[in-house]
This record gives sequence, C-alpha cells and structure tokens, in this order.
Amino acid sequence: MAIQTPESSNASKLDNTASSATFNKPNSTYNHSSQNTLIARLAKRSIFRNTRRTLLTVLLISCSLAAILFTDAFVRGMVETMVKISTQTFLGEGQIHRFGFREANDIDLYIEDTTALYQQLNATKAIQAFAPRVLTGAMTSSSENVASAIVYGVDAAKEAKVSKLKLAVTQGDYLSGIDGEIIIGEQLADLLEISLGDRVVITVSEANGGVLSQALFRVSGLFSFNERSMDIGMAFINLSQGQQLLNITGVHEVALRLQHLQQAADNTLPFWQTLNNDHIETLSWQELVPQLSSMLAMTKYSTLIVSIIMYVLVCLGLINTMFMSIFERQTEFGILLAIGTRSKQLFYQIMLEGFFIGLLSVTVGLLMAFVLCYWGSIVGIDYSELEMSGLTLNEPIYLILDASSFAIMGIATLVVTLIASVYPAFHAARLQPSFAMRKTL
Amino acid sequence: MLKFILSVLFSLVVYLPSYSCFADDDSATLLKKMDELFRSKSSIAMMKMQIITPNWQRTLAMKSWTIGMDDTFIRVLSPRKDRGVATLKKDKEMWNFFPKINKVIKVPPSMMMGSWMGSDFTNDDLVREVSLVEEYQVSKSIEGENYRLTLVPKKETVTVWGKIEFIVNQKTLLPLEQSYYNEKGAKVRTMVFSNIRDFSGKKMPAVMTMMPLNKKGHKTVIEYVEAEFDIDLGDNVFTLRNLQTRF
Amino acid sequence: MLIIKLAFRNILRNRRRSLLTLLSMGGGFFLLCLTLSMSEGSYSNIINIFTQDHTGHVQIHKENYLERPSLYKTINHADEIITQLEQQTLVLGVAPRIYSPSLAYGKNKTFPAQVVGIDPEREAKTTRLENKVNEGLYLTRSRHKAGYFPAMIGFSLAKNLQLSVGDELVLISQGIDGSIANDIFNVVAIVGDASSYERMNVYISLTAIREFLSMASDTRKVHELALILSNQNQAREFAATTQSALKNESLSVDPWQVVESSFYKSMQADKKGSYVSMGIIIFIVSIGVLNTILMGTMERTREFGVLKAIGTRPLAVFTLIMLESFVLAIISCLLGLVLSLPVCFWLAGVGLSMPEPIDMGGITFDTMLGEVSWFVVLLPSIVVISSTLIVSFIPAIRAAKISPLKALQAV
Repeated sequence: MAIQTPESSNASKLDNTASSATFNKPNSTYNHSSQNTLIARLAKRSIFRNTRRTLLTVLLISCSLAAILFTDAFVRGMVETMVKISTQTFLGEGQIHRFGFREANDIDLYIEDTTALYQQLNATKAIQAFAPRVLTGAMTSSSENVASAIVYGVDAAKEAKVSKLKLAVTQGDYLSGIDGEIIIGEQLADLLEISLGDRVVITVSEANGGVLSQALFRVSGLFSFNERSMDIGMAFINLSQGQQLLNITGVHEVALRLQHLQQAADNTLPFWQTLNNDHIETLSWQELVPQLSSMLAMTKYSTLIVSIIMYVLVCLGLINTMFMSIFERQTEFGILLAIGTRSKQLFYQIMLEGFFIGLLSVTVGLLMAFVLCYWGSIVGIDYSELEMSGLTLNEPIYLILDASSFAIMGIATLVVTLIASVYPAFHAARLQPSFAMRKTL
Repeated sequence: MLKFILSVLFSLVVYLPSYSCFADDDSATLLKKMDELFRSKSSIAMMKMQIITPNWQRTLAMKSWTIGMDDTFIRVLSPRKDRGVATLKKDKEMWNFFPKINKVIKVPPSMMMGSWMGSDFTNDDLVREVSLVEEYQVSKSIEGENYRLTLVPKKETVTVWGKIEFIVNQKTLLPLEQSYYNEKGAKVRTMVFSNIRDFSGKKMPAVMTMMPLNKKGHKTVIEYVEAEFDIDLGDNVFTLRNLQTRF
Repeated sequence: MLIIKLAFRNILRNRRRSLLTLLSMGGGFFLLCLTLSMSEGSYSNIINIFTQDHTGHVQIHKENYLERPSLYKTINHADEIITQLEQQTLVLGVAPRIYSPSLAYGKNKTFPAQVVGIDPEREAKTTRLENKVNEGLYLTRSRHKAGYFPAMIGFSLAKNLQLSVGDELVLISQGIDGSIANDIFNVVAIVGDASSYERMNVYISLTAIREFLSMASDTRKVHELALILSNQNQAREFAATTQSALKNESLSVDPWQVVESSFYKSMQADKKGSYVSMGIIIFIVSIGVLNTILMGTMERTREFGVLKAIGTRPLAVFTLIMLESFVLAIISCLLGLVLSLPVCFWLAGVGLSMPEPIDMGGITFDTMLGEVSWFVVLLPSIVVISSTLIVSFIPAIRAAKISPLKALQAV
C-alpha cells in the first residue's frame, strides 16, 4: 500500500521502498501513475472482498441491460412484423399511380405507357417484384341480390409475388388468366347468396365516356383477408379482362415489393426520383398509409420512455449498493483517512470500484442480451392468438438485433454506473475519520 | 323489362294471323320472329304501376314512348310529388330528370342495378337490349292447353339467370307466365300476365304482376290503361331536352 | 406481540439501512406506478379521442343494422329513449342520427355520399364534429334564406364536386316510401380533411333528412343513437345494463369495442406488446428489491447469531425477519404512493407534450396523458410486497436455522 504524507519530500523514497518490486520508476518523480495503479488494484480488491454483494449488484445491472436490449429487439421485430403485415397483405411497399389518380380514384386517369414503365421497373434492382392493377367501382349482381364493390383487375402471377391474395383464397382456385374468372370475398358471396361456380354480372362504366359495360363471370374462388371491408367490398378478375371491361389499355396502379423493407423509407435511392415526374407518382407505404407510421412512431416513443425508467431504476439500485458497501467499510475508510490518505484518492478509489462493477456488469449484460436476442431471432415469439386488422399474426415475431443499440445501451449503462458512483464516492471522501471508526454492531 | 313485355305482346299480336298457318313451327323461329317484328315498331302507352313492399306502397301513373328496343322515354304523371320525373334511355345510356331540382342526371352503374323508381324492375331491365333468340337457346314443350318455352342462356350471354321459362296459351298465343331461374334451378322471380284486353285492335294482357320470390311481401303490378302502336313519334321525343319539357 | 415490537425496533434502530431499503423499494414502486399510469393513460387517451371523433362510447341500433344497414331498420321511439338516457348521470351526451346512402351530384359527375341527419346541438355535445369545421359555420336548424336546408360536406366530397361554402349541393336517394328523394341543399361548411372519417359525408339536420326521405316528420324514428359516457371503460357495462333495460325491443346496444372492432383489436395487440415491456420493468424492480433485502439480511447474520444464542426460537427469528421485510414493504408502498400520486394526477391532467404530434386517421394526438385508477396503484403494491416476501423467505429460513456459533464467526 503506498503511503503518502501530504508535505513529505521523502515521498518518492518511501514509494520506492514499499513497492520497488513492482515498480521501476525514478525516485525523484512524484509518481501519479503508480499511485493510480495502486488505487486501481485496491479498487479491484475491494470489489471482490464481498463477492456476494458485488455479484448481486452485477446481477442487477446486467439483467437490466439485457432486459432493455431484449425489449429493444422485440419492439423492432414487432414493428417490422406489423409493417410487413400491412404492406404485404395487399398494399405493397410502394405504389405507382398516374398523377391525380389518388384523389378520387378517377378511372380516366390511368398510366398509359406501361411497357416503358415495366422495363424501367425490371431494370431497377431495388424493386423485387411489381403488380399492375386496374381498379374501379362496380355493381356486382347475382340472381338473388345486387351489391356495390371495388373490382380489381390483376395479373395473377405478378400479383402473387407482391401481395397475399393467392394465400387468402379459402375456397376454389386462384386466378389463372382465363377470362370469366372472378374471386370474391366470402362476405360478399354471402351477401349475393352465391358460391363457387355461380353466375355474377359485373357492371361498370367505361373510362372516357361512361358508357355502361357489363360482363358475365363465374365465381372461381372465394377469399378472406379477415378484414371486413376487404371481404365484403372487393372482387378480383384478370387484368386483361379488366382492361377490356373498362376499355383502357393501361393500368391504374402498380404495387411494388422492394428487396428490403427499409428501402421504403430511404428516399435517397435513385428510383424514387426517376419514378416521380409529371405523369406518375410513386409513394412509399409510409406516405400511403400515414396512420401506420404514426402508430409506429408512438411505439418507439414509449420504448424510449421505458428505457429511461429502467436506467433510473438501475441508478437507484446501484446507489443503494454502493452506499451499503461504503457503510460496511466505514471503519476501514476511517482508518485510511486517519493515516493520511487524501480525500481525492478515496473518491477516486470508489469511483473506480463503481467503474469496474459497471464494466463487469456491462460485459455480462451484453453477453446475456446477445444470447437472448439471438435465440429470439431464430425462434421468435409466438403471438398467434392475436388478431390484427389484416391477417392474423400467424408468424412469430422475430427479434431484430441491432449493433448500434447494443453499443449505445452498453455505453449508457457504464455512464449511468459512473454517475451513480459519484454521490457515494463523494460521501466517503468527506467522512470524518473519528466518526467513521466507531464500530457498530 | 317493360319494353320487352310490350314488344313481345305486340309482336305476338301482329304475328297471330300468320301463326295459325304454322301450327308446328320451330320454337326458335317463333322466338326469332318475335324479336324481329319487335324491332321495327313503336308505341305510346299510358300505364299504372303499383309497388307493394313490406314497408310502403305506392301507385304511379306514367306515360311511355318507345321505338324498337333502343329508345325509351317514360314520364311520371302521378303522384304529385313525382310528377314530371322522367327517364330517357338511348342505346346503352340512361338519364333521369328531376323537376324539383331541375337537373338531368346520367345514371351511373351504382344506380343501374338499383330498382327503377323503387319497383321490382331494375334500371338494367330497361336498358339492356334483350334479344332473346340471339342470347338464349329455346325449346318448346306442350303442357295441357299451354306451351312451355324453355330458354337457356348461350355461353357468351351476359346474364345472371340460369333459365327463363314462358308459359304461353296455345290458342291465344299470349303468355300467361314468365319465370326467371337461377342456375341451381330455383325460381327467383315470376311475372304473371292477366286481364286480356283489346288495345287499338290488338289483344294483350293488360296487367303484369312481377313477384320476386326471394323477397317476401314485395310485388309490382303494371297495368296498361291505353296503348297505341306503330305511330310516327317524331325526332324530338328521345332527346335530353325533352326530359325537361313542360307537359 | 413481542415480535412486532422487536421488528419495529429493528427497523428504527438501523435508520440508514432501513432508509436505503425504503428508498430502493419506494423508488421501484414510484417508477412502476408512473409507467403504468402513462401506459394506461395513453391508451385511454387514444380511445377517448378515437371514440369522440364520431363513434361515441356506446351505440344503439335496431338489431343487425350494423351488419346489413337498411333504411327501414329504425329505432322506433327514439325520443323516449333519448329522454331516459339523458337523465342518467353516466351519460354525457346522446346523438341521434339518420343515414341515407345517396348520390351527390356536381359538374356532370355523380359521387356516392353518405348523408347523415344529425341534431346539431346534441351532436356537438357528443362528438367533435363541431371542432372539425374548416370553413364556414357549424350547422343550425334553420332554413336558408332561399328556402334550402343547410348542409355541411366533407373535405374530399367538396373537392371532387368542386363545391365551396355558399354553393348548391344536389342529393339523390331513395325515400322511405320508395319515391326518388331529390333535393337541393346549401353548403354552409366544409368539415374534416382528406383523411378524416367524414370526408365523403354530408351532414344535414334531422328535420331536413326527414323531409328529404319523405319520413313525414316522424320524430321518433332514427337509425342510430350514439352515446358518450363519463369514462370509456364503463362502455361495456353500461351497454349490457341498457340492453337488458330495453329487453322487449329488438334493439342492439353495443359498446365501442364491438362497433369499432378492428380499432379495438389493434389496440389490444399493441397493449399485449406493452405487457412485455411492463413485465420487464416488474422484473427489474423485483431484482432491485431482491438486491436490497438480500444484502440487508445477510449483513445482519451476526445479529441473528446473537439472537439465537440468547435462546430465540428459530420460528421466531424467521417470523421476525419476514415481518420486518413486510413492514418495510408496506411503508415503501405508502412512500411510493405519496410520491407518485401527485405526479400521476399531474400527468392525467396536463400530460407530457409529445415532440411531434401523431396523426391517426385524421385525429391528432399531441399529449401523452397519464391515468389515475386502482390498477395503477394496486399493481405496483402487489409487485413490491410479493417480491419482498418472496425474497426474504430464503434468508429468513437460513437465519432461523443457522447455528449461533457459525453466525458469530461470520464477518
């Protein structure tokens, strides 16, 4: 133990004699670094003196850290699942329309030059698949009843790569490009009192003129998206027939599936620019359904609050621990101070103790978190009893590991530990030796 | 629907004398001749339409002008609230006029399949050019005193019906009943013809009662008060302007 | 009795230890309470804002109206029902409505529009329709000077028909007697925006719609009664009691959870997600309690050794320790309560303003509110007390069984 008297000029000599074995410093220098290292060793030793307590503290901090990281990964996974459900059910991660179409769904405003557009889309790497559609309000009639619905003309093969229409077919078959095929929602079929194979007449008014046009279809399949508005208000026919019915050569909408979901938010990608001009507009899902991104923003916000609360808890627990350890060693500190240890050094020692505990906890915590989250990302958490608008969550929520979260949370925890150590260290440094040495049972 | 009935009746009446020479004619030819004769004629008629539903009942008095199957003009004369409401159908397009608000409105698809003036007939019934012989396969059988004409839609025919049947009296060659069936063979609606009267020298049923069988308590009864045929109607009848003319 | 005295004395004897324990557990309580309050509060807030938009907390219809709406499915003596409902203290507002799907006509194009007949004063007390008027003035019951009834139209409908305040609106529908309802209305206001619920609606007074649909001024028939209660969480119960009170009618009384079931489902999903976070916080609070109590009891091993040496029964030692922990838990709950209640009330009243207001379906949320309820207070208490007891169990048993010699030799 290095002993220092404040005004001693023999400091270096004493220093040397006491620790010559471990240090090789010139006698004349008032050696800070050796003192610091000794204090460090002291700090380390004190921590492990009461292993039980240290362990408990480390447990507290590392568990909290792991818990926060787990929640973070969970929320990220949940957000992505929610977004995927919304966009992959039918909406698409982005949509292209003729400028002005979206305001009133005016069937006259269709994208005319589809060949050039498709070429452009095929050439864009970020776009994994696209599905062209025509859509119009229409009357559907059966022998029993009449109902209004939105009729979509889709390209069966392309549509299956972008939306979940094919998977939503519950009875009969999906579209296969043959004229006369129509798949309708289960609730619409109920309303019209028809089932597979029955006749359905679709009446629309043609584009550019409004002349009425009708065609006969036979119910080839029924679908259910588990969402009332879709199951009672939609019907799907083949794209070519839809175009014939409306007497147009283009399409109203092209739904996009990107390579990665995140690209929808990234508007630095070149294709957003090239696909937005005077004629057509391309919007990401965030712009198409702003309500969804609002809900997600709120989720992120509440996660932030939860994290802050957790850190405060950790802080409290840590302060508690530090104080306990200080009070236990009060006698010891008293002696230390009595024989001349500088307050500053005591302060520093306690801070170091806190730092080491923090370091240890963060390491353990990050490891625990990594294991948990990794397991979670492979196995996922099953939420299947839950139903959200759209399809039931039939996929488990996979946790998403994020390196930056790990780094930030880890460092934050360390910082919090240090902050928590300040007051106890300060308190210890200001102890009066005589008071401290009083032993209590 | 209205128009079709008129045409069928009219053509049957005209064809009556010649029919007696062809007692065993093919049913398709019969139907075809009905269609053909139907197309070249015109008519002016006064009629009453009584609509009965479980929630309300109304009786409308109307005057109608028709040329062939393409053009129809109907104007409502009573009740007072609806007096002046008019419908014009030219080719495949249809317009309504509402005197109260003084507007002519083109009928969009959403109103097309809706009922015409609340009756059991749809706007669509009025609009569609029903050429039965072109759109349906017909066969005939004898049932007691009547013929039963069975019409099955051809493959390309755009219709919700699986089958239409006529019961026609052999002697008068006037229909007694027309029934619409869905593809499962269930009768969905029936039209009953009665009260055979003389209209400008032609005999035809004056009353047609339409009953949807899937909706309880609904019935529409059309009664012809007067009818004239093959009159020159002039060019001004089937115009949008005529919808708004004072009468 | 002695044990209780001893327990209290022990607690008071070692002030700083007790204080630290209290602080830690009380702090945990405080934070758990706050989190719960914020979480419950924001859900309640969202639900309130959503239901006050146009749905209301409870709705009454002719049974089956919601699944297959029809002009003829009316509530036949609505005026009596309204009077009865308005007398109840729970009910803050009742809004009667008549619906008629119609065609709105403008500039050679027809657009489908939902025409809603409302009682303007009652509607303003029940929903936020009046606040959504962007241009023009809210509906009144009078006729316009030119003899036309006033109408408020939705934003998108106004845009599609290119109408603004002061223009004429033509509506066509089918009357209740089968006639074609057609009339001209005077646009007095435009409501909502491009994404709000009413964007394709037309609002006219009940008198106006009755005349439009030839309903012959029958003031007793409406399609829907929407009610606002003093608190949305009473909706289910209220709906059930009202339903049984109306037992000889074929009416259906539904709480908002049924009327807006997809909204409810997504709220539930979100809530379930937050249960995970809640569970984690509870976990951390428990660990904090564990930490504190464990250290506290283990520190006093010598003390217990002395107790046993002078002849205290093991059971007594056990009970003593459990009692001390229990008392500490109770006090810390009280402490936490004292600290957290004012904050919760403040949160419920004023709330935290969000940095960016969130828009959901045309409705803006800009504050996160807290909530004060039994749940918010009870759950943290249960967590703190039960984790204290669980955690004290093992050290208490160890202390009870320890041999005095070993205990006195321990550090």
